Amino acid sequence: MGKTEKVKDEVVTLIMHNLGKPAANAFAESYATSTMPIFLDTAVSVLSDMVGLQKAQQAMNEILSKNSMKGLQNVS
Amino acid sequence: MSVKGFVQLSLIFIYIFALFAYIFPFTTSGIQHSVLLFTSLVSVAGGVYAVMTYGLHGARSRTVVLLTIGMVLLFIGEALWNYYEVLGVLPFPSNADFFYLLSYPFLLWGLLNEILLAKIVWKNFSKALIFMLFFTAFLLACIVGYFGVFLAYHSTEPLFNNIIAMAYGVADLVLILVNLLVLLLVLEFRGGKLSKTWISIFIGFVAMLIADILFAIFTMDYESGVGMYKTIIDGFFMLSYLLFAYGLFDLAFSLEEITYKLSHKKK
Repeated sequence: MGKTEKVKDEVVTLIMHNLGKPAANAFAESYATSTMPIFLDTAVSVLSDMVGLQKAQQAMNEILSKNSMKGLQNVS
Repeated sequence: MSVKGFVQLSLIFIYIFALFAYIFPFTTSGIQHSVLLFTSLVSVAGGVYAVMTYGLHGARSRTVVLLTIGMVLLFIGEALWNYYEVLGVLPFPSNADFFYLLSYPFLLWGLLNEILLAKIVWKNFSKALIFMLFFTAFLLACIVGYFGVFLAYHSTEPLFNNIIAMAYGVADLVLILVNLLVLLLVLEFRGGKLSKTWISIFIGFVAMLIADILFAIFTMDYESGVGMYKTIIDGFFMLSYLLFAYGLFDLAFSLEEITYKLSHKKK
C-alpha cells in the first residue's frame, strides 16, 4: 500500500472513530478517488463540523506527521 | 418544521407537562412517578437513536453505547421504583437502588472514554482556567461531601439505608468531578456540534446531582409527599433525563445531517 492510500485509510478510520461507520462509509464512497488536497480538505471540514476546527486539524496533523507528510496549517 | 426542531420542542413540552402533573392537586403519586418514568424512557430513546445513528464501530460509538446502558439502568431503576409505589411498598431502599447505582459505573466509563478519545491538549488551557477547575472541583467535593454524604446519614435509619443514601453522594461526587473534565471537552470541541451535546449532558448531570443531594437530605419529606419536596426533587430528575435526551438526540441529528451531506455531495 502506498503512502497516499495509507493516509487515506487512516483518515477514514479517524472519521469512523469520531462520526461512526455510516458517515465514514459515505465519506469513503464520495471521496476515495479524489485528489489528496480535496480529500484532506473535505475530511477536515467534515470533522470540524462535529469536533470543531482546532480538534479536526490537530487529529489530521497527527496522521500526516506520522506518515511524514506536510501539515495542514493552510487547510480548513 | 424539521424533525430536529420538532423533537426539541417536544422535549420542552414534555417537561412543562411533567411539571404540571406534579403541581396539579388531583394527580396521584402513581401518576407523578409514571411521568418521571416517561422522561427516563425519553432519555433511553435518545440514547438508542444515537447508537443506531452512530453504529457500533468506532471509539465515540463506545461512549454513546455506555451512556445509553447507563440510561437503560436508570430507567429500570425508575420502573422498579414505580412498581413498588403501585404496590404500596416503601421503594427506598430496594432493588431499584441497585439499578440506579449500577448505572453510575457505565456513565462514568462513557465519560472517561470520551475524555481519553478527545486527547485534551492541556497546554491550550490557561493556568487560571485549570486553577478554577480544581477550585470548583474542591468546592463541589466539599458541598457534595457535606450535603450528599454527611447529611444523608440519619441515625434513626438502619445502617443499610444509610449506606445506600450515602453511596449516591459518593457516586455523584465522582461523576461530577469527571463532568468537570467534560466541561473541558466543551471548550476542546468549540465550534463543533459535539460541544452542544456535552453542554447539555453536563447540565443534565448537574441537575441529577442536585436532585440526589436534595433526596438524600429530605428522604422522609419526599416519601411522605409533604410540601413541594417531591415536585422539586423529581423536577430536577426529569430535567436531567430530558437534557440527556436532548444531548443524545442532537448528536444523532447532527450526525445524520453530516452523513446526508456527504452522501449527496458532488465529487
